[in-house]
Amino acid sequence: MANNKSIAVKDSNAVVNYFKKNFGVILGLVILNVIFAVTTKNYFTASNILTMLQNNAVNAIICCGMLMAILMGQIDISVGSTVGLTGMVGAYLITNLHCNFFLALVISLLVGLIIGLINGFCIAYLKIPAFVATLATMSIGRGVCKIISKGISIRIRDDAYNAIAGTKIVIPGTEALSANGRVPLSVSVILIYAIILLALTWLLLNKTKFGYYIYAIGGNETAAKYSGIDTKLYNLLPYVITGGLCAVGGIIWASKLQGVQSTLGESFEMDAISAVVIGGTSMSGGSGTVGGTIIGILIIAVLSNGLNVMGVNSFWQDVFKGIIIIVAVVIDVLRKSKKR
Amino acid sequence: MAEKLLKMTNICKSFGTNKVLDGIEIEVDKGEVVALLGENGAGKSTLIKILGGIYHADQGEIYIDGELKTINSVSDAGDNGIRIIHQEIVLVPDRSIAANVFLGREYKKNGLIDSKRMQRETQALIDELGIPLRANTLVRELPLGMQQIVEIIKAISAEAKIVVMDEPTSSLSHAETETLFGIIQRLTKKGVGVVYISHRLDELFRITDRILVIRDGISVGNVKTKEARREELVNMMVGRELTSYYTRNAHDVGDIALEVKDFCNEADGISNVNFHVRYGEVVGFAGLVGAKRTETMKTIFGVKKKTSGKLLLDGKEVKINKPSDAIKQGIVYASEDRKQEGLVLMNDIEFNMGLANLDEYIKFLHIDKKAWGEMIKEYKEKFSIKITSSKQIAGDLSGGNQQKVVLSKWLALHPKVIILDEPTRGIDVGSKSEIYEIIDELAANGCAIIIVSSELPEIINMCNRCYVMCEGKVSGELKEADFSQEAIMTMATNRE
Repeated sequence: MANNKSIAVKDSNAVVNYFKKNFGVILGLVILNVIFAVTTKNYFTASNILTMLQNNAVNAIICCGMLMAILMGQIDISVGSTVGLTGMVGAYLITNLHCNFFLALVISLLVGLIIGLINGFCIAYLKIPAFVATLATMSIGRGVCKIISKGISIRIRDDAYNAIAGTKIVIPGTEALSANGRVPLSVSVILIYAIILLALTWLLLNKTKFGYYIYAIGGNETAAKYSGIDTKLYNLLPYVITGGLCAVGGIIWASKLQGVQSTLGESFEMDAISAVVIGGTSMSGGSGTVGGTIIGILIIAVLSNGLNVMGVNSFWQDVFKGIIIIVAVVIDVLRKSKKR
Repeated sequence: MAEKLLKMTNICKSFGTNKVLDGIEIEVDKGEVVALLGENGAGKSTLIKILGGIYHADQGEIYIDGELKTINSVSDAGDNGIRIIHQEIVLVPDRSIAANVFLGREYKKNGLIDSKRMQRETQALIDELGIPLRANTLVRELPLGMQQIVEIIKAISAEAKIVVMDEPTSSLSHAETETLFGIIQRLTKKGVGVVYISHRLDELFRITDRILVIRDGISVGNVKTKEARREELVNMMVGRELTSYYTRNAHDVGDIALEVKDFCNEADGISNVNFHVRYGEVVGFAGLVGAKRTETMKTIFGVKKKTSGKLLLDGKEVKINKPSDAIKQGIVYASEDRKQEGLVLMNDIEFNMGLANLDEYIKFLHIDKKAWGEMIKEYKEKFSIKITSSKQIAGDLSGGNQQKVVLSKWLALHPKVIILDEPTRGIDVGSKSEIYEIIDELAANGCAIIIVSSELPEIINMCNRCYVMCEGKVSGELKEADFSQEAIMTMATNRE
């Protein structure tokens, strides 16, 4: 039995493999889509789907980092707060201090990296549990964000800054697909950022030593250490990367909204953790893929958008998301216990 | 004639094809202390686990007070008055002694916990045993030895008929050992039967009435302690026939590869360890459980921190602070615990074999699948590892194949010195013999090899030289010509 399986895995190609591995979540995604397409008129339209994807691009970017943290058997709940703080820092520099555009970007990015560094240092070197360390930085980040804004929202009027997320790429010949039938569809550039970052994360996890080390540490930290891997360093680095990704998310989100409130990014960690877990990543670490996470991101996207289109109160959306997480994890647990 | 308190007859137990117990018998009278003596792996623990309901015997009967009993679970054992005190301490450190003693069977008053009564009764028991402890002290505040004593108090606080102690003195100081002996005497006066497991012969002579020696799952001796002689016991323990599946060819021994000088690691109780190993030489490390051989090797490998001492490689001092330093110097360590410390079980063979050497196979976004695959193929053929694909999950392999994967991982680095900690533990006979072949070939190629083993025949048949450790010290060194199980065991039990 085991022999046949492993040979089959070896011979089949990557696409078939992908569907096999993620069969459960893909099926879930299809079912959700069918439900929303049948029950509502406006869900299955090209413009709605594009909007939905664009609205979840920042979540996808954060998920790249969250995936790494969870792969190591840890977590980062400070991501939403880091998005808020970096977005706020960028907006404050541009609007209140009339700072140079590039300088503002660089400083925002640095703030994100530093928060990641603090997280990583506390977790890898001071051995503070990841949940506690990132809970603390979450609180600090949100606090600083409010201090900077003094509770008032900041408008961004810098054209270059607003173009970061505001740029759209028109797809010619798609007039028929749009709502009014005259204007061609356009894709927001933030969708492209998200796709690039997901691709880079895939490369990082699958084609570099770094990626192998992350999987090794998540799978068995002691064995990784005994194999000569600097487990502390490679425990820290993913948090730094996550901080950087959050800064990118913060800048994009601030630019998309053309302004920042001190609540920017609140509860983003929930969507990111949900997407990664639904995508089949084990909370105990060591197993999980970018491919699975993409499906998880899509499920979260479809769920909130579909419920919106159906006119379901946003408070109820949280309830549904929670239920989906439980279902996804139960399926994962059952699948694992079956194997044994 | 009165019925025996405990009688276990014809107990058999196999794990897979490995027969661990083969018709063993044990009898314990009321108020009697019976010692179980045997080498590591002789089957003592398995026997005790069957009595304690953790394992189920394939065959055999257990009688208590002459009545046939079925013990299928830990609670069955408890109901029959059997109390087992394991080596590991399983107490809740932040709770009081009384709370620990009554854990799981707390007294209640009006639906709430009656902590006063529990404290009173615990204190009464402590006083009765003559131990200077207060029942409301937190377990965390006690020294390790006293925690062990609390574990014993906990075990006997409920009505006990038979108390089993597995190496109870391994973490006890001299004074605490005396306390323990006091407890045992009080227990036997009350008619409790005690089964006492220890490697320390002196203790057995002092405290036990009868000694049961087991070897390879059978009883090989049952003697009254008064009539027993030390040499006789050692002979019974180790006197197995030496099987012939060892591979050992004569080859040249070169210069000193690794020299360890005055090595200390205070945290682990390792003091002044000195030894050396030459290129092409196989050096054994014998000793009993608790001799700190594994800890010593882990300190050399950089997993644990040394407090003082020097490491010389090729005559030059090397600094090793972490495993990667050791690996860079060409010193590798294959752990005794494959599953925890050797392999990432959920990942595949390719992943595991390459893990220590990724620099070789991954160069920025380019994975050299060809070189990686060739390495796997080379070792797969060389060690005849039974795998169908390099994508097979490591956790699904047999123990022998897992060990070969671990060895391949290390040997692919072409180390100067390889430390093999219990290289054949839990491995079937066929794979064992193959691993001996691998070791012999490595030595022929000039690798310096250190084998830590609890199986004396393995050391005697595979090594050029051996060191014996006892309680964190090297208690002796033997040349091949002087190898004998008796000599090694004497050094291993040599305590001042």
